[in-house]
Amino acid sequence: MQPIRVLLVDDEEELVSALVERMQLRGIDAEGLTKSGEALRRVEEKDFDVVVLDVKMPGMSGLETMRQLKASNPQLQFIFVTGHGSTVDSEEGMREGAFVYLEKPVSIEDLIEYVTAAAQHGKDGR
Amino acid sequence: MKPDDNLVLREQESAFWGTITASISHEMNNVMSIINECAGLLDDLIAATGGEGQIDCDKVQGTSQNIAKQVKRGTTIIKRLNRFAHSCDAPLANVDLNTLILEVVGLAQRFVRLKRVCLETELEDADIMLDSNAFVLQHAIFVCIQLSLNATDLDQCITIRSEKGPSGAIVQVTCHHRLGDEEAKNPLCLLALLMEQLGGKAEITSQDGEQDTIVLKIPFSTTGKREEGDLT
Repeated sequence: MQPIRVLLVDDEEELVSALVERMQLRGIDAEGLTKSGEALRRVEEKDFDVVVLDVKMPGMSGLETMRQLKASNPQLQFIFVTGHGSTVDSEEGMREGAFVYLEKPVSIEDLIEYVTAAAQHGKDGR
Repeated sequence: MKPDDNLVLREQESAFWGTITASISHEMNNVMSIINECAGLLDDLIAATGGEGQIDCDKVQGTSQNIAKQVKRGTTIIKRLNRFAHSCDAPLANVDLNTLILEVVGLAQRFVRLKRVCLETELEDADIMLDSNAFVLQHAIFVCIQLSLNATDLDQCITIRSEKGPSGAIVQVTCHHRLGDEEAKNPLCLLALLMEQLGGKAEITSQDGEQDTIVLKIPFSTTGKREEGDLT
């Protein structure tokens, strides 16, 4: 069975690297990026099942990144990760089709559970 | 100052507090999240050996260095918040304008990063000591930065300069665009009220009709007589 392919995008480099490693140790094919613009390019190059996006990012926000990625990849599933107090954008993201939003700090077990469910949701929708 | 102006100032003072503390708590949450993940990763690395075999020492060391880096970052953020909170202690304090500008630049860093612009300072070499209200002065400088951020595009720079004039200090905040007339209207009214409290004034100057500079003229002492032409 092919591992779930996850792209993590957050401008906090150390957070991305630790989360990617922890997901890889749990059998997820995870990659991380710190710039939303790079995510647009990476999704062109490789198929992902789920994109985990920070809501507040420099330049293009998580919400705008999702809009752009969704336009060209409607099957892609999105999980928003947010600091407290940024739930307005996350709720907007939910209305626009994000699978779930989680508040930082996120437990790795919760994240894996939601990533798995989101990937399954994407497959069911195909 | 009219009674309505006082109400506006009190409301805006609370809003300023809220903006700063929300931003700092968000930053601290990011710091805690990274420490949380790094600690979790250390647990994972130990668990991955299954109690046997070699642990990847380079990875453990790198993760531990990341934790130390975040603790240092968190300490800086907390100290900055603490200094900001104590700036309300007295209505009048002897402060160095350059230090205060750097404090506000630090407080504004998250907004600057999110907007993906740069904020640079060109400060007078010598200290510029003022007897002033540190909180109101920080608020005024922050409003200038916010106004400039609203008028600045991605990857552009905002410059803050300080200068010691003969009868007061001058702060200039330059962005490489014009401040929008409508968007800037309310913040500029607030800025005028803040500067009135400090016994100074705010002006906007335009260079070549393309970029605006907000100029704050601050007296060395707010206890001095406030009259037109008091500042150069």
